[in-house]
Amino acid sequence: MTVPNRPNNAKINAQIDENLRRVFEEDAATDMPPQLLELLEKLESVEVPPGLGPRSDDGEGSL
Amino acid sequence: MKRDDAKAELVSHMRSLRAFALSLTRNSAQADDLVQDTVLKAWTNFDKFQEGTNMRAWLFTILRNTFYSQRRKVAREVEDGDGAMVEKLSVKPAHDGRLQMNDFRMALDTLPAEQREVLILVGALQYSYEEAAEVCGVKVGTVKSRLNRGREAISMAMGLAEGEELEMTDASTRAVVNASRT
Repeated sequence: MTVPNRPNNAKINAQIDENLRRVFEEDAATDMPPQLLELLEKLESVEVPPGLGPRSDDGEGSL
Repeated sequence: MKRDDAKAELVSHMRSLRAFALSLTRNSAQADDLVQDTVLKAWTNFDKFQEGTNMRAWLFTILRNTFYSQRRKVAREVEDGDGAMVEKLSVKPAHDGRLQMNDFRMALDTLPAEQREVLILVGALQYSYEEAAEVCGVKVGTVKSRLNRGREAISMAMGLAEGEELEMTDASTRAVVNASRT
């Protein structure tokens, strides 16, 4: 069952959204762990299934 | 889209991806594994990404689909990521009368992942209902319903009721106030 968006609810929802933004921003601001940094460094060496790699006709990446 | 360009944009979304993963898993190690799986899937499936569309939304879709797929596989295991299940029993009191982020985080953690993801997408990231529905693979009405239920649950957990001002008090104060009313 949904809750009607009354004026007071709208104020509360705005406060909740503001805190959701803070939660997300705090989490996004944390340092990237070595595991993920290493993954990004090695990404080019990850084998891409046939047909998904660079095109042979024009040399452009075919994604 | 060239691989170099794809990688550059992918890297630019890594922090958002990790924050979204944390909102779903509530566990940093699981979030890191989830982001890693997501990046690998995206990298090997970039041919399915439509250039000019929202890559972050595409990555979020991969991430949340991976999360729910993995969760189904371990459905019989008891999950207690970072003690989150224990915290479902109650919200611990804060030590001052203002809105506490720790209280808020704990309230958020008590919600089902399906509600948390909608709250993050719509509430935190300002996705439209339609965009959130596309990311989550559900109908717009479902997004609205989950959003309303999530907000209502947080309001309840934080002691906010209709007509109350936004000064959110801590649990201890609420207990004293409520006791005095009875």
